[in-house]
Amino acid sequence: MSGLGIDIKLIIAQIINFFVFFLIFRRYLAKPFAKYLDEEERREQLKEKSEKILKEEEDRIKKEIEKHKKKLEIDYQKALEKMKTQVKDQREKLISQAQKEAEEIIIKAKEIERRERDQLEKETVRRAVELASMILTKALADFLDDKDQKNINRRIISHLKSIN
Amino acid sequence: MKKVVIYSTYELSHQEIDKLVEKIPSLKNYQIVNQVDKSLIAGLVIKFADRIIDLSIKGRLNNISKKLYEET
Repeated sequence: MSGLGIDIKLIIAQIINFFVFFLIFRRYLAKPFAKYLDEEERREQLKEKSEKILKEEEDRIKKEIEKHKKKLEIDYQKALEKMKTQVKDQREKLISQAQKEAEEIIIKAKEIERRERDQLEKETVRRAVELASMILTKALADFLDDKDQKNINRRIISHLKSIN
Repeated sequence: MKKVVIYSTYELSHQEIDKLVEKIPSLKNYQIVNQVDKSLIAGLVIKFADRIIDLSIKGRLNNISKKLYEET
């Protein structure tokens, strides 16, 4: 064996060296490293889990917000419709009231017009009668002479019924 | 004695006054005073203290005017 250049002692020493190295490697490098890798994997899983939870929570909150938005929209539409109805009712009420007041004003105006017309008619008749009376008085005063007046007096006295 | 005023458009004669007294006997109890009032047109107005008897044309015209006005 020594003729081949193989040293048994050296080989045994290298094998022992290898095992010692292997043991040291396994104990002080491989295990911690494996442990570190496990730790990393665990952290990665935890991170994924947290992200998933956060995503779910975010989705849930979005849904809630959307739900509230829809509800608000519906409430707003209802309130708007209610207000439109109220405005419409109020408008109709005001129109009706205005029409009623306008009719009352028209009736009152017609009444005033009728009264004024009657008044004017009466006044016209009064003036016409006054004028006619004046004309007749003047005409009779001019027309009747003393003889006519005496005749009239005689007739008045003769036709007079006894008065006590 | 109480007075009664007879308004006429001219001065009445005694006959006319006597005929009036015949028709209105109460005139005998009064002192008759005759006054001329041309505005009567014709006829007489006898004015007592408490009443008036209007027998004038003017009075008749006034009555007619009043009735015409009231009828409207």
